[in-house]
Parts: sequence; C-alpha cells; structure tokens
Amino acid sequence: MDLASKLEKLSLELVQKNDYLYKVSVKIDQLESLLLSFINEFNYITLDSINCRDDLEDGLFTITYCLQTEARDHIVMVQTSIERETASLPTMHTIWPQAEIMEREMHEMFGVDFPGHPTLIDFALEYWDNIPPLRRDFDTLEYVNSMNPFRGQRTDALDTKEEMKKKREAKKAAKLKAEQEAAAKAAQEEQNNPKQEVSGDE
Amino acid sequence: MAIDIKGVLSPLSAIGTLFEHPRTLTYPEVTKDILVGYRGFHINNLETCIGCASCEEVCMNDAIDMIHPDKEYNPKNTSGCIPRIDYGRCCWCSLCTDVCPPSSLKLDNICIHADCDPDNFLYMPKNIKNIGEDVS
Amino acid sequence: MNDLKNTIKIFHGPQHPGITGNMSVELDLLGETIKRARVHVGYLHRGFEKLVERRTVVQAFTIVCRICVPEPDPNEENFARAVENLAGLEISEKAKYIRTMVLEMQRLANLFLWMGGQAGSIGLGLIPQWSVCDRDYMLDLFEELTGGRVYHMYAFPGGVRRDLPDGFLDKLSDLLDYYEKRIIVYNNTFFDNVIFKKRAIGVGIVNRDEVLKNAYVGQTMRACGIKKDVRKDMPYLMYDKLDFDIPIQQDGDVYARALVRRDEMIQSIRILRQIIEQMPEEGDILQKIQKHRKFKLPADDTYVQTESARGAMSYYMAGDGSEKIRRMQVRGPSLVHAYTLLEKLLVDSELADVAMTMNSLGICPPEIER
Repeated sequence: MDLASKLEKLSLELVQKNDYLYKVSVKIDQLESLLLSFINEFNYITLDSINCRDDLEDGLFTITYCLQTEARDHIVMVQTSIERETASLPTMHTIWPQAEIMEREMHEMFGVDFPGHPTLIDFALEYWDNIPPLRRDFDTLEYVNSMNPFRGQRTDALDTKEEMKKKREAKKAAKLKAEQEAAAKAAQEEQNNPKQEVSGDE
Repeated sequence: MAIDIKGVLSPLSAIGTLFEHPRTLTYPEVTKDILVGYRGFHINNLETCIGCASCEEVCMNDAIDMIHPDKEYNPKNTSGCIPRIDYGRCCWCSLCTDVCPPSSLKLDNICIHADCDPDNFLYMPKNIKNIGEDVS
Repeated sequence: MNDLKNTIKIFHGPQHPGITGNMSVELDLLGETIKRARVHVGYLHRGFEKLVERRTVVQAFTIVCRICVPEPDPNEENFARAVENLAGLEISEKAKYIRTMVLEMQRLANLFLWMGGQAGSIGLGLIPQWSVCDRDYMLDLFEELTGGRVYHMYAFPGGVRRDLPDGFLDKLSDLLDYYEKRIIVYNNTFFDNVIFKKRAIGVGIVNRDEVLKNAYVGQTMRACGIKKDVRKDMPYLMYDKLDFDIPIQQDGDVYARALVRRDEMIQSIRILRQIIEQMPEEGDILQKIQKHRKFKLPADDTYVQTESARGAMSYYMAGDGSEKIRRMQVRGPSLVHAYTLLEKLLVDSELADVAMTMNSLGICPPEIER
C-alpha cells in the first residue's frame, strides 16, 4: 500500500493490526507534521479520539491519536510518548474543533498541559486539587476510604485459607487422637485376652 | 401554505386504541410469569458447598464474606465456611455462580426484597437445591 | 460579550424532564432566543475507566455495560471484541450470530426509547406511553435470554454466557411481526403528525461540510445525506453476511434524523429476520478462557468500533502483560455531539427547542463522563 511506502520515506513503520486498523509510532517533534500529512496526503481527515495511557514504570504518557479516513473505513493510530513529569502537548483544536473537548478532558484526568488551548477549565470534576485521577499513582481505594465513612457491620468475615488450615489441623489432631485411642484400645484388648486370637488363626 | 390534511387527520387514528385491550397488568392481583433464567437472589445448596471461597475471590465488588454456618452441613467442606452476600454491593453479574466448582451457588428467579433495617442487606443464600423450590 | 449584556441565565437541567440524563445546559437567553449555550457534565461521574484498571479482565466486563444506561450492549461488544483482539481469541459462528442478534435487539429497544423521549420533548404525551411499553416487550426477551432486563452482562470475551432458550427465536419472530404493525401506527400518530413536523422541520440543522471532519456519527451524519455506517464500512461479527440498507435523509434537521431512525428500525427488523433464518442450530457459545487471575493480556493496544443506536462507539484498550487492563478509554458518540455540536447548534435557536435538539442528537450524559 502506498501509505506504508510514503511513511517509510519519513522513516516510520506502519503496523497493520487487522483489516481496518493501522498503527504508526512517531516522536513527539514529528507528531504535528505527521498528523497534517495524514489529513492532506492520506485523506485521514477525521479525528475520532485522543487516548492517553499512563506508563508509570517508564515515566511516560503514551498518547494515541485515532484518525479515520473520509470514507470511515480505515483507522490509523498515531502513537507518541511524552514525559510524565513535564506533560505537555501541542493543541489540535485549530485543526479539529472536537479536539478541544478531548484535550480538556485529558488535561483534567491526566494533568497534560496544552499551551494555547482556550478553555482548559473543569470538565467533570469541580474544584479538584488532588493528583489528576486517571494517573496511576492516584489510589482510588485509599481516596474513597479517606473520604467516605463505611458501615462497620461485616467484621465477622473469615479468612478461608486460615480456616482451611485450622480445619486440617483439627482433623489431623482428631485423626491422631483416634489413632492413639485405637492403639490404646488394641493394646488393652491384647492385654485382656492375649493369645486367643493367635490360636484361633492357626 | 397548504394545510397538511394527512398530518392533521392521521394522528386521530389513535382514538382507535380506546377500544383495544389494555396492555398493563393489575399488579398485585395479576403478576407476570417469573422466568427461569432471571438473575435474582442467591441460593446455596449447603450439602454440596465445599467452602472453597472461589466466589469470594472472583467477586469484583467484595460483596461476599465467608462465615461459619450454624451447624455443619457438608462434612467435605474444606474450610467449614459458607458464603454470605452483601446486597448493598452485589451487582448480580453471576460470576460467582459461574466459577462455583460444585455448582452449589445459583441465582434464584425471585427478586423482591423490602426491609427497613439496612443490616438485613447482608443476605444468607437460602439452602435449597434447585431454582424455584420452596423453602420448608 | 456585549451581546450578553441584557441576557438572562437559565440552567436547563440536570433536574429537567427534557434533558436526556444528568447533564445541564447553561443558557444565556435574550427573550426566548438563546445567545450562548454551555454544556456542564459531572453529575454522574463514576470513574469507570479507573475502576476497570483495578480489576482483572474477567471482573471488568461487568462494569462496561453501565457506561451507557439505555444502551449497554455496544459497550459489552466493544469490550469483548477488544479483549479478543488483544488475546487472540476466536469466537464461534453461533456466538457471533447471537451477539449480532443482541446488538440489533438493543438497537430496536433503544430506538423505541428514543422515540418516547423525542415525542415527550415536544409534548406529545401519548407516544412515550406507547413506545416505552413496546420497548418493554423487548426487555422481556432480554430477560429470558440474558437474565437481566437492562444490564445484560451477556457478551463475554470468547463468546456469550448463555445459550438461546427453547423457542426464543419464535418469540422474537412474533415480536417482530408486532413491531412491524406498530411502526405503521407510529407513522400515523408521530412521524406524519403535523405538530411534530411543524416543530421539527428546519430546527437544529447540522452543517454538512463539517460532519466528516468533526467526527459526527450516527443519525446526525446520515441525516445530512452521508451514507456511512460502521456495520457496512468496517463490518464486524456477521454483518458482512447480512443484507441491509443504510437509510439516509438530506435535510440534516431534527425531522430528518427522526426519519432516519424510523427507517433504521425497519432495517433492524429486516436484519433480525435474517438472523432468525440463519442462526446455526449447534455450536459452542463460549470459548473457555483461563481463570480470572491467570487470564493475561499481552502488552499491546487496539481500537475497536461498534455501531450503536446513536452512532459509532469506540474503545481504546491497552494491556501490559498482567491480568489487568492497563487502559480502557471510551469514546462514545455523545462527547463530540454534546460539546462541539450542541453548543454551536443551540445558538440563535429557541428555548423550547433545546430538549428536542438534544434528544435528536442522541446525547447520553453517562457516556460523556464515564
């Protein structure tokens, strides 16, 4: 396909994921020009979504721009990485108006900055001053436990592993006890009538 | 502008429904048939429950606690525990019944629960074998 | 800002019967005319995308259906297909047919609910009573098939969770006969109704030139005469083996969108009839996957798209080699429709048309904020 060969000239590799989905990874400084060339040369004119992924271990945010052709029959994922600490991206709202709201959401949920964006205001959360909630170092459970009181009524829950161990030990102890008892009983019986059984056998 | 005669007259055909049989049921005198597959309250056959805690493990809402029953029902129960479900958290996804190794935990088709005490949301599954069986 | 000097500010929602959910539109009014509209969400932010990251793949599938309340199945389908793409699972033909059937049933149920909202928003009180009742018959079938009326939790990575009950397809076929009769009734009372025509024609006209670039989807796009549908352009499940048309209209207003939806109902019935005919008798419905702590997704990402009853709904999903999903991002049709489109569309329209316009764009607030 000529899309692949054209991208090869820019020393980019096009990965075909399935019949309708392609993926290309790009450095952040090439991103804007590549997106523009996708619009102008390859007819991928629709921006379907901007996705952000937090790769905490590498200290990176992985941003994926999903573009669709004019015929809406192919999708290309243009993927780039930015530093997690100084998260900043060029704004695309001048090219695609819908990028404005997607970037506003990403700013709120990940704390990515968009210089030149006109409306970086609150999206769904009002007066949020904690870590942006979709970053992976934000612990939901801890936050919920610190914010909300819980009804303390489920204190009788048991740990089944320990219960299993207990029961196994109890069983073992019971078995041991039973064995001892049986042995003692046998010994007692033997004492009472020692040689009768043997003679009976013979 | 010409009058849209069809648009004026055709909605009046709704008057005809006055003479149709109503579609609503007079609940509670008439109730709908309860379907077998509906996801309602849990039932647990304690004679076969082995206390493995698979249901507790798979529950994404932490709704299930393993507790001691009032007496021993199944001597093969490895931990001696049976599940109890917090219906304030349960979402009736039926993952717990899917993973249950002896298939003792099931979902009944009864789903009406009204109580003024929130503690009663901690629900002990009824000890019956099959869906729809009456509790004696 | 000078225009807004003598305006009065009104919040349309979140407790307004004409709003499509928990969302509010802040309106600046000059008399009855809207001078500026601002959309506010956040009344139903449940953080599903974060919750999914805390659960294993098997556990997470019960959450996604809650993303859009009237239309859970495209979400389940998207989730299941994304996991299947990542993990390389193949599902059987019967499971594919059942999933296609559930999606089309959901489309019909959702369009009936939309009809209630659309008619209710212009004061035709009879139609909501009827259409919600008709939708209930479909929910009865869902109850029998999946065990739940609204949230089905049915499509599972690897297939579907339950087999078809006995006589289910006959019941569905009977219901489709009934629906075909009902659509004639709705034609007479609603679509041909002079009140609806007078209110809806020429209101909320979407500019055709910006549709494709701005990613408007669904009926908003097709009412502008653009013949595109994910089911045809990027066929998934069994859609490439089924015969159906994509209805379009040219005007791009509220009435054109209503007509497109009506024709889609007819097409849905047509698709369902073909599925009933072609449904394989035998076949696995669910491919066994590993236990939930052992089922791992590779470190890869994918993007899937499904045509919901309101337009294309997409999921981005990335795994990281563990049993949890690294990231799942939902992009429903509502986000762009509510912000990029509605805020512009409402300017210089009348206050009474706000609810009607919102409804015809298919905006579902729970899906905007997830």
